[in-house]
Amino acid sequence: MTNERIHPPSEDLFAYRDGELTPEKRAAIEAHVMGCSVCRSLIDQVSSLEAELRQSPDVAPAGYLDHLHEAVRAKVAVAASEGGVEEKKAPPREKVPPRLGTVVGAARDEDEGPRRERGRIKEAPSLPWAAVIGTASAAAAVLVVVVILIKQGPYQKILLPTPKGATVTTAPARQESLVGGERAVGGANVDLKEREAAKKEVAGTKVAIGAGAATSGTTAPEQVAPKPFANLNPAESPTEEKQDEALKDKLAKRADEIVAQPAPSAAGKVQAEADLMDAKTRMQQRAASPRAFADEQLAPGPAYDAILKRYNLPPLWAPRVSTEALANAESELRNLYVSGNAGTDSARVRLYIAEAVRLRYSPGDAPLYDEIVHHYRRVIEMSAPDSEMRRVAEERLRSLER
Amino acid sequence: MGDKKPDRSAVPDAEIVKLVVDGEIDAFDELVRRTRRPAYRLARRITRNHEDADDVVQDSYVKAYRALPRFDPSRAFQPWFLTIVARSALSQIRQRARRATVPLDEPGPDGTNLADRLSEGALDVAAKQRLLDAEEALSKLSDEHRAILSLRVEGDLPYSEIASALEIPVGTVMSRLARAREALLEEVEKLRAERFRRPS
Repeated sequence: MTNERIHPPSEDLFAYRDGELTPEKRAAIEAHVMGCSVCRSLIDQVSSLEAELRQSPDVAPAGYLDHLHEAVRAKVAVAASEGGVEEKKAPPREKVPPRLGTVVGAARDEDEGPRRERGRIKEAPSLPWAAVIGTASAAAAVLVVVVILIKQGPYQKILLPTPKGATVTTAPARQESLVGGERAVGGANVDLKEREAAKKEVAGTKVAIGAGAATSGTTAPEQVAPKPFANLNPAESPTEEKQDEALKDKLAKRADEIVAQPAPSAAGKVQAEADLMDAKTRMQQRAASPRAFADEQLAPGPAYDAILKRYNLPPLWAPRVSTEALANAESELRNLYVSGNAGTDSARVRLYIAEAVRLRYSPGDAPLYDEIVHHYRRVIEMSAPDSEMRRVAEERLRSLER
Repeated sequence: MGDKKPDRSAVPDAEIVKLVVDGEIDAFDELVRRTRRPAYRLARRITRNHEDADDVVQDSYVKAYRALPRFDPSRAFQPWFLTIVARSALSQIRQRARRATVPLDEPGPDGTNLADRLSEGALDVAAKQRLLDAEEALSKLSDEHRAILSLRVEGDLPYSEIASALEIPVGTVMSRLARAREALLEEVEKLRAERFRRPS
């Protein structure tokens, strides 16, 4: 065995080359590298490859960086008009409990900047003690309440009599608590008489609720079935245990239905909320992309117009467009897009590009499928919500077979 | 109008950031001017197509603008910004894992390829070939390896910054970067061996 065969791990060699080792380790690796031609060669090869990559010419289309600058300026202006930088409203990140096993203090959101090495290495993972203590206190309080209630037995006596159907949703939960509580304590002192009384209360509840609902004159009669055991075979003559369970299930089911169902009187509110959400979505889409200025109502810009005339194409793609003309125009349309000169025609150009790619597409061609979908989606993002262009793009996207 | 803008080319990053945070949005132009080229190159290397790279870079500038108050003024803007670009680019390729890319040997959307651009430079034939090999080898690496190498090559970022960008520990950066470099060397060797077998 020769000394030259015992090479340090490549991680250490490259870290040495990158100046990322501690002084002690650096000295050790350096001592080896100085006397080892194999390791020196490895480091040299990587260095020269990376140097070659660094001097690789830009692959950005001509004029792109200027176009980028303009596009960024527009987007930042939109962001500024929406509230600008995050300022102090963002909570201090240092208070967020670090995730064990990950980089402490590292950025978590995409828009979050990097953190310092200092914070990452030296900060010991600390538990959020205030949160832990708070949670523990809350859990202890809940536990105490539950124990007290269980010991008091049929606490529903106080809580269950509900004259109106409006409070039905809480009843099953309480019954669950009771039953669960009894089972949980198991051999603990559970007064059988109290248990009997509780079951009678449960059985009586349906009458009280039914009566309350019948007088309400709303949909309440449906909220609680007046015949909770109607679906059971009368011949079976269910025991109290079964009745208890059946009623519990029935009430729980109805409660879920009521919760899931919007009240008729809230219909207008629901619609208003939907409209508001829609408006917000539209605003966000506009804000997210200044290229949303694209509008098919605008006259085509000179570069786009020249291509349209050269290939006899309409300003907006339509099914009647000649496939031959489209195929011929594709490269010029692409050039226009990447040059940054498409401006407000960007969405229309992209729709044409999607259609041109689609000419070559057949189902199963995943890369082309992805590209076409990407173009359509960008058109949808860039165009006004109620525009013809958006409608066309959405329709074409729907009709695209994977 | 544009002529009236003050020349901020010599103003330190931290001062420009302060101007922007204080409301002088025009100052952000200078940060864009300083970083747009490496940002695009990094995004392009990770996403491997122009359109995604374009989207990534534009979105990254908006994210950076919004996050400026969290920027540490004692550091340079570019490394911080490049980590945002890298994270956005990785997110983009994860979302579109099988998106079409432009192979190096085919013309890009503007009708030129890397070899065309190289021919415009002053490199000799052997140097051009080495560069083409390096680019092709890089393009053949996994997304993970390509991303970490790109951060190192384009951003010249220290391991700590790479760790932050990729949301991995520094130890993982060390090992992943080492594997990526080994894979790059291996790909280059394969390309050269292939050319040696089939000269033309």
